[in-house]
Amino acid sequence: MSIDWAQVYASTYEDVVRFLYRKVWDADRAQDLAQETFVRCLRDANAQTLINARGFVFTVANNLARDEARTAIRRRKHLVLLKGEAEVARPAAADAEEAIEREQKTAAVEAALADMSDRDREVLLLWDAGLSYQEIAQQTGLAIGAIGTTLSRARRRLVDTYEEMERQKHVARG
Amino acid sequence: MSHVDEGELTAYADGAWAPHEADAQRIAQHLAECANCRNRLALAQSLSARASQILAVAAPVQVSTPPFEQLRAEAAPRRQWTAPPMAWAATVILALGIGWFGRGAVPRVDTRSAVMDGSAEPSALQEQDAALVAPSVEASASVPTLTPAPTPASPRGRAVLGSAGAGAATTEVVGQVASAPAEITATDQVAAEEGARAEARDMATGKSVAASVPASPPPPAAQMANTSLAERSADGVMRRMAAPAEARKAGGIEHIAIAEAERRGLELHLVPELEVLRVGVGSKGLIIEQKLGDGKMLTITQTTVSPDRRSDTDGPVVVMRNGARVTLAGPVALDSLRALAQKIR
Repeated sequence: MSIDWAQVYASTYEDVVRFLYRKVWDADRAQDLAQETFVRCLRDANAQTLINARGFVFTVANNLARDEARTAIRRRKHLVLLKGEAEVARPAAADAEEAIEREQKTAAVEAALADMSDRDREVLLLWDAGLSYQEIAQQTGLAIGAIGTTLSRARRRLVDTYEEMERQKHVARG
Repeated sequence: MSHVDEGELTAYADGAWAPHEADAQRIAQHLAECANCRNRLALAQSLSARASQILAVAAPVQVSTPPFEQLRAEAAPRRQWTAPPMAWAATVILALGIGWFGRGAVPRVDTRSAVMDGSAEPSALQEQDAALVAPSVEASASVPTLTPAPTPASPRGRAVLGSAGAGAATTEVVGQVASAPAEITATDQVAAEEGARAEARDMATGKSVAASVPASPPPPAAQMANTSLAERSADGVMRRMAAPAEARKAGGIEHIAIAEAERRGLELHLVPELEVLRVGVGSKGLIIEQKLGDGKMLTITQTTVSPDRRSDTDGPVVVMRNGARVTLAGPVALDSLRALAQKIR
């Protein structure tokens, strides 16, 4: 059974981008890595008759993100200057406020995600990327019966941490 | 009656089971009878929704999916020197001290500034090249660990192998930097990392041999290919560097098929019986890619090393019949590596 990569690509690309975004926290980089993920899948001769293409895609994406983390330090040295330049061009006032708000909220989510165990976070992100319990179990090596409990715990942690941070922010504002 | 535990409720809420499945039916039945668990189910569902909502905040604002055709084009085999796909990422690096190929004599340039100029640019390439040649012994099937690129300050004077007449006995890796800094920088990564340090030492201790246009023909043994390439270069280094845009983009590495390599008379040291995927011709030497099977690829880097150079890698060192040293490293069983080395002999 050969894989229709066009189909897999169309249906999972955005999910992959989001998934990667929550690992590298850089929209452009997430898109680059998502592209690279699919390029590698297409090139992989052994991947043409997989049973679970979607799971494979996320495995590749995951590995790329992990390697990204290793090179991130070196890369940031180059990018620091670029980002500084980009920030100079500010959008209109209303947009700017919205953008700042969004940025802060994103940072809060990032912090909330960092506040849970690696495994819980991984399960949560894979589920949010649209994978089934079966696929998540396969990707993470967990028993399928443990997925529900893990998700419940991860969600609880995410919501509690995030809402606590938002609460404190509003308190600070007065 | 026993209630449904949190994990099962969550699974049920998430639709982990099809309605007809035994577990789903069991839980549905219980829910019909138990208001408490019905409440808990509602909570699980709202928790799930809230978590989704929060996560949705942390997403890129606009994601447009590029057309698939573009992706397919990019994935096509003609790509330049990039890291191989994940399944091919287990590579074995062999540094063979045998023949070498130079660009002929070129004016010496300030290598330091040349490196500085080029170092920032093809960083992605550098990383990927480093990944391929890094003699790491990491046992994983994913993309090899990227080793840090050599700092720009490291002496790069040994970059190009230009001196064909570099003494009869030694096969010294010495030459002059060609006048295309960016290209050289990227191709510097082509050779094994260990070569960089050893060669720097050689330079420092003055063992290097300054070279100009090769006055005498190169030492006969295993230098046949050197002659052919040197000749090509001697009559016009600039022409060689004005090689196809492809080579320039790849940082000076020209990829050719094995047939072309044979036509040019390049001396290739291969593992017999393994399919040759392609040959990369760089200023430092050759990179030969062979298919190992099991989704693995063998990368053979042919450069020169001085005969008494020590290997910096952790892998086994095999001394070949012609005195060359083969250093093996990679996520392959030690026995397999040795077996491969034997085959090359």
